[in-house]
Amino acid sequence: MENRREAFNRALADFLEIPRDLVLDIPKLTLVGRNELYLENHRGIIQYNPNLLRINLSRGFLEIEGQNMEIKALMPEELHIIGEITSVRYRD
Amino acid sequence: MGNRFFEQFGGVITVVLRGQYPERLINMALTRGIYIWNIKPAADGMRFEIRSSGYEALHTIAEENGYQLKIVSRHGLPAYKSIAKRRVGFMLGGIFFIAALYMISSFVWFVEVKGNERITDQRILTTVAKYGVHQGAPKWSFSRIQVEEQVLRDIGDLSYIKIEIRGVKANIEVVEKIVIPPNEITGPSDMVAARSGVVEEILVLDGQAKVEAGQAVAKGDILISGTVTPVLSPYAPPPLEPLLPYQVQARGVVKARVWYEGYGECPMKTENMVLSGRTAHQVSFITPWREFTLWGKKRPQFAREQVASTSNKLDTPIGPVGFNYRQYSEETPEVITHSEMEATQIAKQKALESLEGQIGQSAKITDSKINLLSSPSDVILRINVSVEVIEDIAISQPISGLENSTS
Repeated sequence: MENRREAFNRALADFLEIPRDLVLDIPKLTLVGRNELYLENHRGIIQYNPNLLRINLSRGFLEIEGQNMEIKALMPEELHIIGEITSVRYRD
Repeated sequence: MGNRFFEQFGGVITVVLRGQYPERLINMALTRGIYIWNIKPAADGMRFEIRSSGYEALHTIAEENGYQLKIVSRHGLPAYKSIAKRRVGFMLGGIFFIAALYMISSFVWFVEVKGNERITDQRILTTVAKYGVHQGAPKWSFSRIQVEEQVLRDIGDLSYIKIEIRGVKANIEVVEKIVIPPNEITGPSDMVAARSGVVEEILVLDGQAKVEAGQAVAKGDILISGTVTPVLSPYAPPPLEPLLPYQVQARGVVKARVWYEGYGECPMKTENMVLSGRTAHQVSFITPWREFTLWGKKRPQFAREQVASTSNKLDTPIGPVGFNYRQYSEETPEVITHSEMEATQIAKQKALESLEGQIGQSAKITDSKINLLSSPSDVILRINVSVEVIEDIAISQPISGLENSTS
């Protein structure tokens, strides 16, 4: 059911040429160098410590590894992380 | 940046959250719209900042879910309010100081007049004072433009006035009207010689010339006549009616060679006072009642001295207050002996200076002759200088026997 709805949404977004992150609620990451990360469309924090950050997404979660990471700002839709980022990984 | 400002305005609280899975509480806060930032790990939990308006809600959620929330610090205006309450005297002092500064600086304490020559300062000052610009007047009590207009109306001799308020000082700049002496002669007139001399050049603008270049004239002689006798042209046909003399206001320039004599003298020996180089200083404090010597001797010991004093005074309502600095310089006499040539030169200079007022500005000195009056043994050298000058000697004079209308 969920998959069909998603497929429909994707087809609609493609047809109307609307950016997918707006319609499909998929995360949008902006990585500035290796020290800053902006993340839109998140679903909350799963785990936080200075070396590992797990962020919930609409599907799966995001695993960010690094050193001395801080959450600079946390808003319902947006997230701003600073610190030494070494890897960003999607997990299901 | 704007956000930061509003955060400071509303107040910011730094808290430490303790408990298992603090992320869970943060997510709950997020769904309730509590804005969280600067999340850092603390020794036994998480440390972050929230707005003081969101603290109450977060505290409730934390308590319900078994978390511990501890305030670490507060920033922003509400936090400073409590500090201000404790230091009420200091705050009041600050406010009083600002208010006093504002009050003092919103009055005119000095009025200065510039640009006047004929009209006295006093007259301008009393006139502007009448319209509200005086020492101690509040700046808001008058409108500059209105005062300017009213003063211009009151003092007819002024053509321009600008009142500029600079801090506590009112600078009044005026320009006086240039009064052109009314030309009294309006009817027919002659031009006569103001001095005796020899005519060099004559230029007639209106009227009929009565003299020619090279001719000697005495004072009062008619140079250009206002009565014009028409001359018949030998080439033109004779007029039907006989031409009659008519009268005009004669105008023109008559340059003539005239002589002036001036007298000048110079003592062969002059005693000048020169500064010996010895000086003494005195600093005193001026109060409206008396002057106190702060430093230096009251009466310096020099037999003859020159005093230069500079004072920094403030005119207050009770009188002047300030400092006065005096410098006394010793003077000693010095005798200067002039040679005859030097003395003649100085005397000639003096003689020419004495003539300066008599000779017109447009005059051109063509020759000068020195005539020694004193004998060489005299203490004072006296000379007579005769100067030959070419100048305009023509002045208007109404034609005698005619009534003049004066303006």
